[in-house]
Amino acid sequence: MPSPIAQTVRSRSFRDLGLVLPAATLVLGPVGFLAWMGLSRGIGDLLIRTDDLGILPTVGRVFLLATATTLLAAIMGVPLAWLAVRSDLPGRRFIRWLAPLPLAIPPYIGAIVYQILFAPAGPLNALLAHALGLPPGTRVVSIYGVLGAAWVLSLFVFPYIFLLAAAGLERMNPTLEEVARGTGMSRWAVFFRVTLPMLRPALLGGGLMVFLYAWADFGVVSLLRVRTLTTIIYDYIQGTMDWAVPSGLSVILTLITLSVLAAQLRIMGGGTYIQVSGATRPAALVGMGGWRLPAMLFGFLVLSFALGVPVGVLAYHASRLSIVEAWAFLSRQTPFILNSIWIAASGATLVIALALAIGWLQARGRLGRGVSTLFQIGYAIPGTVLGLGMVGFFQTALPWVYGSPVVLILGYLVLFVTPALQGVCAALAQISASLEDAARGMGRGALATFWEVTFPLVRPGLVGAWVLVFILCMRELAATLILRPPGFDTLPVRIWIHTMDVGPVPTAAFLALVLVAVVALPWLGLVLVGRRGVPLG
Amino acid sequence: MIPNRNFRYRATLRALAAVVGLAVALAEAAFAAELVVYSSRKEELIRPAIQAAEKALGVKVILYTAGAGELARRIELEKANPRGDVFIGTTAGFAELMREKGLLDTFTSPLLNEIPAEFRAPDNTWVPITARVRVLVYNTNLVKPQEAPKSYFDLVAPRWKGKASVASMGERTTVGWLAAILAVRGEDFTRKYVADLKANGLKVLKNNTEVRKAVAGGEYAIGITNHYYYLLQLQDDAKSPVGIVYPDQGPADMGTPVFSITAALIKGAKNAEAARSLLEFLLKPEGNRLLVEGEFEIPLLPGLHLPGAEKGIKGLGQFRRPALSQVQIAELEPKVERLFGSAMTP
Repeated sequence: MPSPIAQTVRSRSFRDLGLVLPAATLVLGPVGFLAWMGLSRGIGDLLIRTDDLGILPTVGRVFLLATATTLLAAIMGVPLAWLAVRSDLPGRRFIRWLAPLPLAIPPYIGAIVYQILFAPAGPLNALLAHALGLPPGTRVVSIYGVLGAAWVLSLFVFPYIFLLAAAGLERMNPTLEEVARGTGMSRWAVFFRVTLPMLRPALLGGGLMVFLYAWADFGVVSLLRVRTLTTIIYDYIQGTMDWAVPSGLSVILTLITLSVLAAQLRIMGGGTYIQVSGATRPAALVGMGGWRLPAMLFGFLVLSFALGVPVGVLAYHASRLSIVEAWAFLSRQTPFILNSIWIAASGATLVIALALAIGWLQARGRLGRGVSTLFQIGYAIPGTVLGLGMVGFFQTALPWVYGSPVVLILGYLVLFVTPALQGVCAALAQISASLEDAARGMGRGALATFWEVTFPLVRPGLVGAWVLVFILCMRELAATLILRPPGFDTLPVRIWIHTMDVGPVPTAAFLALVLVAVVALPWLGLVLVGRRGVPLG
Repeated sequence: MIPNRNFRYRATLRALAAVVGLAVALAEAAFAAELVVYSSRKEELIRPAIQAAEKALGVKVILYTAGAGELARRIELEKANPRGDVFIGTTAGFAELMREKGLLDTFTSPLLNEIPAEFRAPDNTWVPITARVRVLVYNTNLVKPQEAPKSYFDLVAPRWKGKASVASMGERTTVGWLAAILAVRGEDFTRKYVADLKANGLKVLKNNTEVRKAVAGGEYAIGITNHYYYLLQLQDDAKSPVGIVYPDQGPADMGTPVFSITAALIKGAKNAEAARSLLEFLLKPEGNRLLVEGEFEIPLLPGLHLPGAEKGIKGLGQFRRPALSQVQIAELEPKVERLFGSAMTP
């Protein structure tokens, strides 16, 4: 008879396999397919082709883009978070509420908006040309290029940094800063030498999310004419029947992304940030004094650029449609709107269920790190690459999934289990295992304990995580564009096709507004109901 | 505890019901007998023709819109179990590639005999439904009509440095245009031409819509694009400052290339009969007229109205075109991709 320990180990490794195998199939299958296709003509051919395409400068450009985006997002997110949490600024509660909202505007929609604003003969250039006394029609500023793309991306992803920084500031024990003040350091010195270093884990976490987002972005760069690996891959998919080049590039892109991720994780793991006691009391609010006006202006500008301007421009353009036109257009688009809601809701539910299973088993020490690492790899795979790989892989390996909307749900699983796990783990961390032990001790089975004790306790946290994943699914473009089966277009896909066909016109703006509304409503609901379970915070 | 547990079971039941509903919806999506059209045409423009076909034939059409390359890639991937019935692509390039790979079925119709042979597939595996012309458009605020370039080959002159734009290879007409030059002028000439163009600051934009907007907005003075983008721009804004040139019209010049716009029957299509009637409908005057007018193309079949004639658009036979068949152009397209793929990426 095997010892009990051996038995536990075996049952655990079986359970691990039960989750690891499907996860590995989902994540590694598509990548493996691409690697196989990419090397079909040999590595020499691939290297020559990629050299022709100027891959090195392209990688450099994407690095620049991702770095600039992260910097800009930090410049917006960190001061806003500090103002919202620590200052006595009038309207700081307002900032706390509004600053996360730009997440509800997909960046590619932001790009459409800024494209309209900065058009060569558009309103902004006309105004600037007039102000500078230049002949009408002169293009003073252009949104096209790396800086324009970084600007647009950062406006709609800075809330990742804001949320983590704000939560970090709220958790921070104010005593440390007070002691520093007591030694005679100025407020600025305290901020840079105490507060900021304490925030390092939060900032690195948020920064990494922003960096990876910009790194893998497809929509914004493609609209704003930045040549990146994802746009080259997409152009090849659309314009040729060749598999070798887009697959090879996909593998290269995935490998670089993974090494970025690994490097950043190493940096993050490179220090310990132990605070002996948590925030026992809220920090005293810092009087803004003469800085009040500039600070308010800063908050107002950031929130206008990220919220007011996009919604305003879209609403203005949509309002150029007559009611009759708008209604006819909307009724034609209804099936796609329903498709989107349906697939995002099922996707989010499945993602959360899986994340809960993984998170719970891991928290109780019944599952190794294998599964969550696999999904982390999935999270790092750019959507364009995942789409191409999944189409090829599923057609070969799982033909009954290929061609049905299930393939989209599987794509969302690969992409979004990681962000879901963050929320789920935060919720689970608040439940002591001893509660479950007590239920087990009273004779409840493992499953009954989970349903009757654990689930009700984590449910508030799950709602927040569900809304986040719903939003992510709802606005996913790059992978959906390639994975969608015939007859199952989603709202982002319709916006994309529309914009590609005719450019940013009233109907596209109208559709974008519908998407923003569908995405923002659950979020607003969550904020209004006052749930604090929104993850990332 | 009891009511609470009931609640939980009810929640579980509801979740089960949702799963069943999901399965039913999926089954419906999978088995409904609808005609799936893989199309790389602009949906808003092709819709009138498709809707008329739905009405005339009594079938429901599902349009799956993507780039022609992605569609061809899908058709090849799905060879064993085709999901699409009809392919409506752009130029003959992909249709020829798919014909060679045995992915298309033949389609015959007496109507095809009315189309000049140079625009057709020799064995009728693909069907030319309309045609488009590769022209130059220019911004009339920036360029006077008499100073506009008369030839593609003028664009390497210093006068046009940094002023010309073209769509990427994602647009098949860009590939077809270079293939026509390659066919007429040979490889050495074309290599030098493309290199000179790039050295002269030719801007490669994502697609033809961007090109027409960039020219109309004054971002670039010249666009190498298709004739109907000129009409689309004027439809967007009748006062747009755009002009059109049919280049290389001199007696010794190569002429302005014309491309067949192709449709085809996918081999093994689940709804082959309905697919045939759709193709037939698109060739008949009632259907073809909607395609030509909806997309501002030029008709290949005789007796149809030419959209944009009053705005300077010329029909087949009203301008000089290269003495090339569509198959000749199509056969050179893979070579164009290989030679110029990286130069012609945005």
